[in-house]
Amino acid sequence: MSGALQLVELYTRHLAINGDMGNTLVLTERARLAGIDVEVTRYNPGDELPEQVDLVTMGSGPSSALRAVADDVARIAGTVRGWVDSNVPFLAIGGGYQLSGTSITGLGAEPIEGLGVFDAVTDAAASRAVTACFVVDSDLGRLVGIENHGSVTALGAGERALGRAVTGRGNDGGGFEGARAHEAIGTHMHGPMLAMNPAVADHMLSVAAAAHGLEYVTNDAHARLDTLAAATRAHLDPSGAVARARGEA
Amino acid sequence: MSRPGRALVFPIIIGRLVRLVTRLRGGGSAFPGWVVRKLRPRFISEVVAQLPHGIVVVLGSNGKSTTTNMVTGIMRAHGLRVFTNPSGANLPQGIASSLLAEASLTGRLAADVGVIEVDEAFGRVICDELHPHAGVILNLQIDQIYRFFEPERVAGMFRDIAATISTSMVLNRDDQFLRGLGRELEAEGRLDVSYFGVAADILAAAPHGLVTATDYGNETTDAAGVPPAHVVAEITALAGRDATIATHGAEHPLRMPTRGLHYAVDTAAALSLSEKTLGGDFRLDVALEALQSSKTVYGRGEILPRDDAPIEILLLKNLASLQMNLDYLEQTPDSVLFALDEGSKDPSWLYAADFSKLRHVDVISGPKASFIALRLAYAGVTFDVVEEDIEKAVKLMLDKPVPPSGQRTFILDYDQMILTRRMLGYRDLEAGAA
Ligand SMILES: [Zn+2]
Repeated sequence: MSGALQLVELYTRHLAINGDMGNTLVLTERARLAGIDVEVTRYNPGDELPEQVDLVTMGSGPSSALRAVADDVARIAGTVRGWVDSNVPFLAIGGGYQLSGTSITGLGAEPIEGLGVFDAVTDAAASRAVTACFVVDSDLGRLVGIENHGSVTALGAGERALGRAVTGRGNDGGGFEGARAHEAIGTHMHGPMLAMNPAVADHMLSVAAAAHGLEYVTNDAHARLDTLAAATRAHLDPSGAVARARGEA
Repeated sequence: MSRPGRALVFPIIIGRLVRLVTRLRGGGSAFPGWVVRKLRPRFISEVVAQLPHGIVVVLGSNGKSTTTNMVTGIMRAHGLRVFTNPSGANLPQGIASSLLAEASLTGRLAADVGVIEVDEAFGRVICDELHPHAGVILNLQIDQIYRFFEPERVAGMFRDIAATISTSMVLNRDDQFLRGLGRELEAEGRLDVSYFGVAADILAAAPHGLVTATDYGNETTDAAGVPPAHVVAEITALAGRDATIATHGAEHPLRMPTRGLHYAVDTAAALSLSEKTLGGDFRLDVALEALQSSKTVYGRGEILPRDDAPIEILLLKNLASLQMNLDYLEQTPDSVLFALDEGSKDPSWLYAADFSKLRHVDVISGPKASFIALRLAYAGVTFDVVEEDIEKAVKLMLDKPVPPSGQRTFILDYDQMILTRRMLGYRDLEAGAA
């Protein structure tokens, strides 16, 4: 396989309430800086899905938007699960994470069936959790961002969390956040999650490039972006309190 | 008309004393209003009840201050004495503070009508006290997600506020949520519902439309579904500061104080609300003249004169205001300061903005400077300096040679705008900002 990586942004019109499209930009821009082209398909209900898919992003949206795409989610669920089963990197944020699970209750009389990428059930009628400095320790390192959701998500037995929630509610207040299955990541860390956590973007791109017979190698341009990202991370945790509480720098 | 009377003397005297003390200490101006409401919970109601033309309210995610200013100008041009709240003073304590400043000791206001800008989250509480006759809702944009969570919630707030209005409601025809609200209100039949709007070809040509929120529960409603007879004023042409506004079947040219579709829309809204409020006394020629001679509100397309190069201030409040300001820049600005305050709690929305109108930013500033820097880097917009301290940042800008365009552009949010104006010697700060 050669040529450009194919990225699909799922439900662009509905799931882009808080700058989540920034994640698509971060992936395409970092790939470009590494000399790899990415073609983006912005998928909306009823559209055709591309034949070949190398990367998938999915943003967040209001509950009305989740309800509005529910029928289409059922239509494409099998295809999307197929991508994930064959290790296509997939990132879903907030409402997109919830829709990637098994089902969502609390958004109307009937539960909404999800994509089934994760074995996860969400109650979307919970109290609101807003965490300005949301810190998660994951296999991909410490992730920092912002949490803002009114939901509780229960992972099925044996389903892997993305990481430990050092601050904030995470999935259900029990100390874990997000979900991980194959190369799929679901998280409440919203907005420009990949901009602030470039290690996650680099991991996704390395996997996608390798599957495509390419090598993703970062350079000075990436390092410059990462310095800027570090400043935003430091801003959310100005006192370094989170780091200190864990006995680190 | 009820007479406010002696019962108000004590709370007003105390409120005035508090006002004096906070002023001497250079403190915020909403506190006296808070005190007077503690002493006299129905203070606002009692004072505004005497206004012969009652209260009109201005609501919406963006453009409230500008529209309030325009409506006030139109009313004054018609010879009415207007009570209005200073821009930004749109919480109950801020409104009470403004009343405190203008009422006599017995609570008499030397005014015929009140034009009040209302914050959506406090709208119901405020309007329960103001008993507005008429209202306008400008737009429902994705705004402050960290505060409101979902646009549906804001739509609910507008619905609650509409329930407190007694006579007429003016709505943006081109806003999906507001069109839906209009249909509900028409079905209810209690209010006179009318609209303002923008011709379809202008909307189609706008790079990002009106940047209003999508009503996913009602995606099928269409602007064409609103009968033209219900539209009081429509913008039918726009080029820079020159707009054409159509009303009652005739088109009128209008030279606006500043450029941009958002400004033109506010103009149509102000004209519509004024006509509905003044009824038979409304004179279009007087209103148009008032709109042309109105000054911009602080920071909304305002140009601060300087000896070397004037500074244009573009106020950003959220995605929509930033995008509309960028979209209607006449050319790529060549001398730019861009600052964001801590008040922009969650700057994720920066990634929803299209920065293609910018090529280079000279100085990035404000407590949230690092978020702007990261966003611009991903947008391919270059920048020279990140200086979180706004005063130092402004100095850096002023020390630079005059750019070829002859003008500097400052993109600021509210708090950074206030600090910048103060630093540049504009001490006429907006009172009651909360
Ligand atoms: Zn305003």
